[in-house]
Amino acid sequence: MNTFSDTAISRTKLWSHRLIMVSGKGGTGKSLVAASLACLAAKSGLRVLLVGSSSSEQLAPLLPIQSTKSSQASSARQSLTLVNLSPEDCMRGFIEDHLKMKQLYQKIFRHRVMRSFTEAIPGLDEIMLLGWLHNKCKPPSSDPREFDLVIFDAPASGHFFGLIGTPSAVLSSGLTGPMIGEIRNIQSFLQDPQQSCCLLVSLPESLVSSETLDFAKKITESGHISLKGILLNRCLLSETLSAQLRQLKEEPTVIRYLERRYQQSIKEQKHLQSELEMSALPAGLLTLPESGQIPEPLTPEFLDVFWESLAP
Amino acid sequence: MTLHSIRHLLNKKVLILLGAGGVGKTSCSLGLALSIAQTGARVGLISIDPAKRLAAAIGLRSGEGLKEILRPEGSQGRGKVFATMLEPQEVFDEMVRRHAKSEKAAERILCHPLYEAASRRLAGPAEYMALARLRDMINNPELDMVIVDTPPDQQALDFLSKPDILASFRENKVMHWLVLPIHMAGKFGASRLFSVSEKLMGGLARITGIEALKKMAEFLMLLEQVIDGFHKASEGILETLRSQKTAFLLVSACHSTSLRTARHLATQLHRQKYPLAGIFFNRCLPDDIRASLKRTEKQANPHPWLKSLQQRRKMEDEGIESFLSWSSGSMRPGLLLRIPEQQDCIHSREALCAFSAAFNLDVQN
Repeated sequence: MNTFSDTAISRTKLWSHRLIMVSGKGGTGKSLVAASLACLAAKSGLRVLLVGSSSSEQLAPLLPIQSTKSSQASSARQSLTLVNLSPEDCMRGFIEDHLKMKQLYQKIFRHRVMRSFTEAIPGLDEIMLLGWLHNKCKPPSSDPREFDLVIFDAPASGHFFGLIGTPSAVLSSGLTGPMIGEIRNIQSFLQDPQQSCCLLVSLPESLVSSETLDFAKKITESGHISLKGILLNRCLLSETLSAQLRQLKEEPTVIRYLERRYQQSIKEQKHLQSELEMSALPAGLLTLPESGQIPEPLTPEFLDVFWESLAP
Repeated sequence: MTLHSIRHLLNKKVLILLGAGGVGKTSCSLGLALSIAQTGARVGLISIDPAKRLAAAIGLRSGEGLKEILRPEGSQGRGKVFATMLEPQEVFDEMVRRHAKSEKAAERILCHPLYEAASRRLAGPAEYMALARLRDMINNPELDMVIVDTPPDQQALDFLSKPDILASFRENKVMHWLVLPIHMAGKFGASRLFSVSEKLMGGLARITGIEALKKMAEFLMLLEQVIDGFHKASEGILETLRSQKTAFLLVSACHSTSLRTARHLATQLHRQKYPLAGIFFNRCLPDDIRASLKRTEKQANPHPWLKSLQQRRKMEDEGIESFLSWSSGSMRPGLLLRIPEQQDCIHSREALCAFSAAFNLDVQN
């Protein structure tokens, strides 16, 4: 059984949020982490909505369920629902379902020329996406809440920062009007550490983990969203395993390779740990083991490993 | 495993590397550039928004023009790698300054409350700028070849498709019949506001408020003049990119997520009639490790780490195999190259030279 350090990430605390956003540098395993968390939260009895935003479906193959169209997400009655969003879906969902202006959407926003106008309005797509997510977490008081937890497989670092900074950028641009009230609600929802948080996925490679640290500091300084943790993916960490490995002699090439990966994992874990402490970032650190091949869909055995690395 | 030798690329004028974020586009661009320079060619590299630390490691700073970064040993002095780096925010500022009617007009755009959000987000200008810069480099008699390292963290094909968004905005005359009335209403009072575009813009105003809409209209009007400039700067370049002079190269890791993106990109390229010349499977297990792993396969109870490595080897083989069987006919890239993962980051010159050996042009395979 694991003994967890002070900086461990606890599932009880994670599950108490309404929205978890998973970001990080490209290729670190964001989709895998988002999908695994969604499965684990659903297993704990929560009704979970997992949201992806890429044009090629990355989440569906990892899950044992089919992805739904965003318009149908509200009708699905299951513990885990997957939606892959496009800007149009967000726009429609937000205007039709949240602002209850269905006719307006049909007449105005589906207009071809109007679409090229709205595409050029800076930040509108981002606001619609955040508005859509917010609406799924906290629907207008008249509607029942359908999901206990929304997990967003967010874009990689640079785009993610642009996304979460959009409400502040729009509010400080001096606009007024009915939208502004909405944007203020979205902003305070994202900034509330009890309700929203983000996780960053990283790798035990010096370039990637230093970029993660820079980005973690940038997010925390901005105050746009609370950073709950860094997940160091693809680590080889166990000391006992390393000792066993050294006793194997027959294939020195492979053993040297694995030994080097082990040293690297240790080094980057320690580096991240001490940097998090030194810069007083209120974020936990979690290491995930190298799994060789990701099973599609994710198997119970695979998820168990993730589950065990989270503190209760 | 490949139909064409990598030497096939030497006949090209432009190489464009595409792939999802984090697969190693910048590293592969550098390795390939260095390898080509070794044949005595002068190679220009444009990197759009590369990972900061990697850029710093090879001496690239934003705001600088084209500069020599590497000279391979034994290339008799002629072969060199020149590079330049584009950062979207700076590019947008520069484009506005260059194409605005006057300095005052440029300042009005740069100081507009919506500008910060726009310059960060509206990808078009960076792509236009990259295309404009690319055209300059293609026409530069000092360079034999240009390599483009496309931006990370976004849909890689934005590089080619985003200019179309701005272009359609311009061609549909959206400014004139939709935005202008609102802009004018700011000057003449709300009574004239919805004379032309009443239904459409009135609808939008119900969401955003009139004031917000006026601000946006004003901003877009200001931007119109520079969009024209962006457009002119990149004219003709898309034709070059569809020609025989250009080769598109995909970079992918060997796991299923990354290969899905690669298939998606290959399909998009094919659909838009851009020539896909090759795919680099990056961060593969090195050959000596593969051979060693093969010998351990028969072990009854392999060490768990060894087992994970064996699984990884299997995954890589199956991944490449599945890409090959998927990409039949005209979708099949002529060049397939397995690039071994590097022990160290390619921070130093030595590490980079070692890495470039993976793109060895002397080997017929």
